[in-house]
Amino acid sequence: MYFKLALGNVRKSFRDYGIYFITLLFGVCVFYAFNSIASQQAVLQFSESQNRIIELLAGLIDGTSVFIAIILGFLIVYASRYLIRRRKKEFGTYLTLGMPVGKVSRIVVYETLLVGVASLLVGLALGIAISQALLYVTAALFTIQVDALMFVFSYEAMIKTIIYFGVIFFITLVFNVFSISRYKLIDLINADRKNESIKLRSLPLSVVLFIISLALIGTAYYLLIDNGLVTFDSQFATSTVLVCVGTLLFFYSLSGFLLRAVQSNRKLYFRGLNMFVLRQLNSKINTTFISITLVSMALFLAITSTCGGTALANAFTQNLAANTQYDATLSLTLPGQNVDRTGQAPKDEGNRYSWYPQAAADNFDMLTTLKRSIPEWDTYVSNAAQMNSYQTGMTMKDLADQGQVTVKDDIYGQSMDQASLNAITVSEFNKQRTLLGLEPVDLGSDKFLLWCNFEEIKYVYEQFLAKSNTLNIFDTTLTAASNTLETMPDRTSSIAGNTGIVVVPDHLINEKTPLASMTLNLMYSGERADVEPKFESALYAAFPGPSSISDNARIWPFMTSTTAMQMEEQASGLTALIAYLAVYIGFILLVTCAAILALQQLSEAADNVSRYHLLEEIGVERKMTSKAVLVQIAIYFLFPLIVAFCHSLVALNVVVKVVSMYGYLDIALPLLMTVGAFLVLYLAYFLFTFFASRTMLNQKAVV
Amino acid sequence: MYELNALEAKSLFQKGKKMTEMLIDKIEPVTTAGLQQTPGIETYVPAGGQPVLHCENIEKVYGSRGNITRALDGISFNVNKGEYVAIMGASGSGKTTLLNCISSIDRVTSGHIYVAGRDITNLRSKQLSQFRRDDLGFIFQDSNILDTLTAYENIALALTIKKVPHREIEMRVAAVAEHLSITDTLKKFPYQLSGGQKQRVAAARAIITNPSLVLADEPTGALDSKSAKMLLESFDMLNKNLLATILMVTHDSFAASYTKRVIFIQDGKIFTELVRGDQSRKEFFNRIIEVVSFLGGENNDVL
Repeated sequence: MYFKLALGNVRKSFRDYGIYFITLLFGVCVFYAFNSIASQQAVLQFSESQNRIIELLAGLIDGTSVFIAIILGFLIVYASRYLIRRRKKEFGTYLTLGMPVGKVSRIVVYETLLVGVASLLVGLALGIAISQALLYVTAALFTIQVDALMFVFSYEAMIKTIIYFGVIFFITLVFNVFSISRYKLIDLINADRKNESIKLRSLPLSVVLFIISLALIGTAYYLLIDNGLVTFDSQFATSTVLVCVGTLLFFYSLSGFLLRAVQSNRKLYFRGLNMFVLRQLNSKINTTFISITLVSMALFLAITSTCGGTALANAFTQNLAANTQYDATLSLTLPGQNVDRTGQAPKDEGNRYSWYPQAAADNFDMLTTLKRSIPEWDTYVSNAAQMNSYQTGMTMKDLADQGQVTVKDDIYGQSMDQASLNAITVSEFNKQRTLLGLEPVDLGSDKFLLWCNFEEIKYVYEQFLAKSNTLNIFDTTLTAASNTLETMPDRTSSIAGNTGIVVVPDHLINEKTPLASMTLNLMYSGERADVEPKFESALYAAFPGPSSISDNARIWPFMTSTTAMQMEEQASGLTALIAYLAVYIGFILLVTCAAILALQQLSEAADNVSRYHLLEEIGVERKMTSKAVLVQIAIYFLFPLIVAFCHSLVALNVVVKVVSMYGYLDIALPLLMTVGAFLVLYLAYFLFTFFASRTMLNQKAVV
Repeated sequence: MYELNALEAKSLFQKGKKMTEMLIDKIEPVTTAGLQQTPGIETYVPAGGQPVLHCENIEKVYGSRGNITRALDGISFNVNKGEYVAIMGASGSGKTTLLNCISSIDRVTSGHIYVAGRDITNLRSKQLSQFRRDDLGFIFQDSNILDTLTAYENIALALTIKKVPHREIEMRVAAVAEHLSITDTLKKFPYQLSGGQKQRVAAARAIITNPSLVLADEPTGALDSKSAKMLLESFDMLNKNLLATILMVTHDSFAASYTKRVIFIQDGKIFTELVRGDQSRKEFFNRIIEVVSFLGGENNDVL
C-alpha cells in the first residue's frame, strides 16, 4: 500500500522530480563513464607511454571521484530536502488521517529508493553508452586506429558507481526521515499559509556592505595578480580568503544594493512590477545568499579548471611542431664547474669523472663513441651535429647590466644573478642551422649573436640588442652581428627552453674553456615512425637504463635522450589527461550549480504562487507576471555566473602568465569553447526553470 | 524613504483630492441603452443614478449531467454609480460565487454582467486582466496584500501596473492614505500592521485606481469588532467623500447595516432587497436582523 502511494506520488509529481531525476541521471552517467576509462586499456592498443598516461588518468579520476561524490551528495541531499518541503501539506494530511510518523517516513523511504534505483539504472545505461563514445575520443586523442566496432564495459566502475551512489542515497534517506520526524502537524497543515518571516536589513547598511565587498574583491584581485601564482605564500592565502569573504558579502548585500539603487530612481522603481521583483529578491536573500555564493565559487572553479586545463593542453600541442624540428636530441650536462677538454679529469671528485678518459679518448666527440657502440648507426641517422656550450664566467644578470636592461621583478628576473650565461662557437651553431636547412652565419672574428627562445626571458636579450651593440665576453669586446634575437630551437623538447646562449667566433674558445653541457641533435634517415623504434631499441641496447648526475653513472656519451615522437606522444597524452579531468570536474560542478539554482527557484516559485495569484486578481496581465518571473530567475542565474566569470578572468589571466613559459598560449579559443558549452547547458537549466515556474504560477491562477 | 512632513502631506493630500475629484468627474456617464430591465425584479434606481453594474439573469452551474449544483439561478440586479450595496446570505447561498463572477475570477454559465456598460462575460483573458486592473478594486477577507512590499508599495502597485507616472503615484497614495488614516503606517511592512490596518491598506489599494466598482468579500471577517467598525466607517467615508461605488459580500448584519441597500440571496436566487433610505443605521440594522431571522426561520421550517 505504502509502496503504491510512493509510486503514485513520484508519478504525479514528475515535474517536481523531473529536474532532480535528470540531474541524478547526469551525475550517475558521468560518474560511471569517467571511472570506466581504465578499462579502455583492454580494448585499445596503447603504446607503453600511453598506457602509463591512462593509468595516471585513472588514478587521478579515482581521487577526483571522491570530491565529485561529495559535491553530488550535497546536491542530492539539498534537492530531496526541497522536494520534501514542497509536500509538507501532503504529509500533514497523512498524519491527520492517523498515519503514524513511521509509516509516513516509510513512504518517503520508498520514494527515495524508487527515484534512486531508477536513476541508477537509467544513469548506468546512459553511462555505458557514453563510455563507448569516450573510447573513440581517447582513440582520437592518442591517434590510435579504430577498425572494428568495439564495446567496453567496466565491472569495477559499475560496482563503484553503485556503492558511491548507494551511500549517497542512504545519507539522503536518513536526512529525509529525520526531517519528517521533526515536523509538527500544525506546521504541516498550515504549510502553504505560513509565510517565511521576512527579516529585513537596513538598506544603507547593504549599500555600505556592497561597497566593502567590491573593495575586498578588488584587493583580492590585486594580490593575486601581484603574487602571480608563483608561490603559494601568505599573499596567495590572503587573496583567497578575501575573494571568498568578498563574494559572500557581495551576494549578501547585492539585493539590498539593487533595491536601494533602483529606489533612488523613482521613475524606474514605480514602473510595472519592478518594485515587486526587487522586493522579492530582497526578501529571499537571507536564505539564499550562502548557497548562491557556493554556486558562484563552484562555477568559478569549473570555468577556471576547464579553461585553464584546456589552454594548458593546447599550449603543449600548439608549440610542439616548432619545438620538435630535430628528430632526436642526446645531451649531457657536466657534473662540475671545472671540466674542460684538456684531457685532465678534475681531481678529488670521487668517481664522478670515471667517464672522462673515454670522452677524452674520443676527443669529446659524442658521435665517435655512439657509432662505435651502435654499428648500424648510419642506417638510422642521416645527419647529426654536436654543440658544446661553454661557461663564460658571466651570469645573465651581468649581461643585462652591461646592456643596462631593467630586469622584471618576477621569478625569472630574480633568478638571473644565479643563472650562468653560456657560449657556443659559431661553427657548431652553423652545423645546427644546416641540420634545420638554414643558411650559415658569418661572425668574422669580432662579432657575436644572441640566441634565446624562452618566452619569459626573451625580452632581456631583445632590449640588450636594442640598447647596446657591444658585449664584453672572454676579455674581448664583440659587436652584435645582428640586432635581432636568434630563436631557432636548440634541441627537441616539449617546450622552448633555451634561456640564452651567446654565439661567439671559434677563436675565443679553446680546450681550456670549461664546459657546461653537450648536445647532439640528429635527423633520421627515413620517416620518424619507421626509424624511431629501431633506433631507440639499438640506443637502449647499447646504453641501458636511465642516468643521472651521480657517482659511477653513465654520463658519456649522453645522459638524456628525447625524440620528437616521444614529445608528441607525451603532448597528446597530456592533452587527453587534462581534457578528461577538466571536463569531468567542470561538467559535474556546472550541472550541480545549475541544478541547485533551478531547485531553489522552483521552490521559490512554489512559495510565490499566492503572490502571483494576487497580482492576477488585481489585474496584472499574464505577460507582465511572466516577465517578472523571468527577471527574477534570470537575476538568480546571471549574477553568480557573472561573478564567477570575473573571478575566472582574473585567475586565468594569472594562469596564462604562468603557463606562457611553455610558449605562446592562446586562451581565447578554449575559453570561448568552454564558455560556449557551459552556457548552452546552463541556459537549458535556466529555461527549464523558467518554464516550470511559469506553469506552476499560472496553474492556480484565475480564469 | 517615503517620509513626508505634515505640511507636504497636507498639500499632497489636497492635490490628490483635487485630482481624484477631477478624475471622478471625468468618468463618462454609462450608457444604459440596450439594457433591459428584467421584469418581475424590483430594482432600486436612485434619481439620476447610472448603473455601474448590471447583472442580467446570470446562472452558474457546477458539475455535469446528473449531478448539477445551481450556485446562481437567474440573478439580475443593478448597482448604480455612487451606491454602497451589501449582498447577504447564509453559507452556500451563492454570494461568493456571485462576487467571483462579477470580479471575472469565475465565469458565468449563462447571462450577462455589464460593468461600466461593458459585457465582461465574453472578454478574453487579456482583456479580463485589463478590466480587473482598470475597473475593479478588490478587498478580501484575508487582506490580500503582498507581504514583501511596504504598505506604501502595496498601494502604489495598483497604479504602477497601469503605468501611471511616479509623481502622480506619490500624490495619489498620499491622498488616499490620508483619507483612510494610514499615513503613519505607509513605511511599514504587512507583518508590522494590525489586521484592521492591513484591511485599510487593501482598501486604499482598491480605491486608488478610481475603479468603477469596489468589490469587498467579507472584509470584516477576520477583524475584531473595533477594527471592523473602523473599517466600515472608512468604507462609508470612501462612498460619501470619494463617491466610490462599493459592493460588499457579507454575512454580518452589523457590517451590512452600514450600506445603503442590502440584497439577500438564498439558494442562488435573490430573496429580497432592503433599502435604507432615511433610516438611521440602528433602524436599518433591525430591519436586516428581521430578514435574516426570517430566512433562518424559514430554513428551520424546512428542517
